[in-house]
Amino acid sequence: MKAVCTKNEMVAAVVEKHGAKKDKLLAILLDLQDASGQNYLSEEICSLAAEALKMSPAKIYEAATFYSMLFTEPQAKYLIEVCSSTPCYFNKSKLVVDTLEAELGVKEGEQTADGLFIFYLAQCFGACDQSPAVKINHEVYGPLDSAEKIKALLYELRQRGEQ
Amino acid sequence: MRIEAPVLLKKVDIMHDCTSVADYKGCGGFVGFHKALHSGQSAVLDELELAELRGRGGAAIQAHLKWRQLYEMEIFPKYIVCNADEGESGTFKDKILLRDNPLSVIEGMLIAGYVFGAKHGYIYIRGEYRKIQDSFQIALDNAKAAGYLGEKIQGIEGFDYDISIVSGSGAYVCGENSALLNSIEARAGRPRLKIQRLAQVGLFKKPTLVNNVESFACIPVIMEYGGAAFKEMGTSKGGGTKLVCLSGHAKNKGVYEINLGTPLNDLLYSEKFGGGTASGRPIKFVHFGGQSGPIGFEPALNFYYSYEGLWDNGLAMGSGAIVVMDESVSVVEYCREVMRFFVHESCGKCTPCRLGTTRALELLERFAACEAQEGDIERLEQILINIRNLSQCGLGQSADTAVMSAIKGARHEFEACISKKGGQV
Repeated sequence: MKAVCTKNEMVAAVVEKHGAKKDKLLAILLDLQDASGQNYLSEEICSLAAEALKMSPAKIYEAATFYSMLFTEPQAKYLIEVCSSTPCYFNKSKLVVDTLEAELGVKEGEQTADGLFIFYLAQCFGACDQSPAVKINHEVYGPLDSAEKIKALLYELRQRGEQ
Repeated sequence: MRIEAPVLLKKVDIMHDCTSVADYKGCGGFVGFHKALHSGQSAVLDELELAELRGRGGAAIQAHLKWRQLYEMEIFPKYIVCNADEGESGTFKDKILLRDNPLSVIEGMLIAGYVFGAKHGYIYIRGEYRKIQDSFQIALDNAKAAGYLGEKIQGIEGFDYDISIVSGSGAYVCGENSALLNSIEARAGRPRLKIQRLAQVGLFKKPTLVNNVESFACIPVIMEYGGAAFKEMGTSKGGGTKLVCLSGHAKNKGVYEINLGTPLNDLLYSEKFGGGTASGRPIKFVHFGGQSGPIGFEPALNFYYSYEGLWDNGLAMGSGAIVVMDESVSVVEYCREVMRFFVHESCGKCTPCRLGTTRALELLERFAACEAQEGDIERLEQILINIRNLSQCGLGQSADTAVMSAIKGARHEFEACISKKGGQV
């Protein structure tokens, strides 16, 4: 997304990109979430989206609170989802979780102090041939079957995040 | 002479740019569509019946039954919807079609649009495949530019049809067709009470066809080669080839296209497919068809991989997922993780599903910690039966399948977890 001056303009740009139609609601909310920089939908953004789509804020919140890819509280710049469905769980997803805890110094659902990372256990996102797999924002990484690979990935993301 | 796989994925290695209509047509793309136009709507339905294509999403219903039902509806507009919400664990084959052969899916949806006189089609792609949504949109734009979508398709007056992408956002339950339609309508993706079928009351309360990605990709193949040839690619209870997904402890994880009727032993052990386990340990059990599918145990996995081959052995194909587990895995722990999935994904509408899966998980956690009590196996079975019988949609109705099949095939592992100490439940 290009830098935009106001939240109004940003919402208008996203809605124009997809079209102001109800079937584009989730695509619009996902883009608005990306644009927040902290992977979440604020109350203000939800109100603006409601106006733009001529829907009630309650309907926006119905979607924002139902779907597991959408968050209504600030998360972090990098939202790490560790697949914990059976093809990954039994292919060392616990190693991924343990390494993230050790390297980031946080438990599941806790943001790191620098606001860069947060991780959750997630359900299958179709990367079973790359198990254990991780999804960070919209990118899938795997197999992350060693602590070294996980540390290298975090290092790369930190470099990018601090730019 | 039977046509051998690959058929659905055959063009993938030939096309330079899979979103290019020229590349797609260069290896036979849109031949099926032109044949459909030439032979007429009713003939397409006849070919579909000869083909015996079973829905590739997991329900395995004969596609021609759904199509004929919608064809006979006298209400318009009719909608064509592609279920690309691929959410069953161990399933990643629709991803390959969407990413590497998008025009085959578009061609299938186009043929459906022609048969039903639909003006609009929707493809609901899961939010986790966001990047693939972008490349699929390019394929749609190219198809439109080449006159295969939009107004006056191929110069035919009145044949106006377009396809939009709708994004999912992380809800397995939206793979259930009526929940998916609710999601397109900007509602929470909870299933509907289906007093009438979706062919009668579907999207925006209009008659709707919902089929899986792979099912749509089969349609141009059926029209190109003919229904009888498609049937011959398969077996007595279902025609065609099938995309299967090998994962878990399989050595050679990936998507493979096979003729239905391929021996399961080949899929599991041949170097051409799974190649045994990555660890070298023996295969202990296989979870078929996704979280909602059944578990089969070695050494009883010596049969042909086909609809009837699986059914005759008390199993089912489901999505085509084949999750291999070696001897290091406790069946009880595996079942616990399966139930954890259902607790997370239950939409919450039906109390027996919402609470039942939670209680089943608690029981399975007790088993996994070797703290189960006498009678807990029976308690677990009763909860699972209640979830199945009292839930409104396929999620709850199949939440019991894996665990029940595990208890049937490995009851001794559950019994070994029953605490010998006394005490209250």
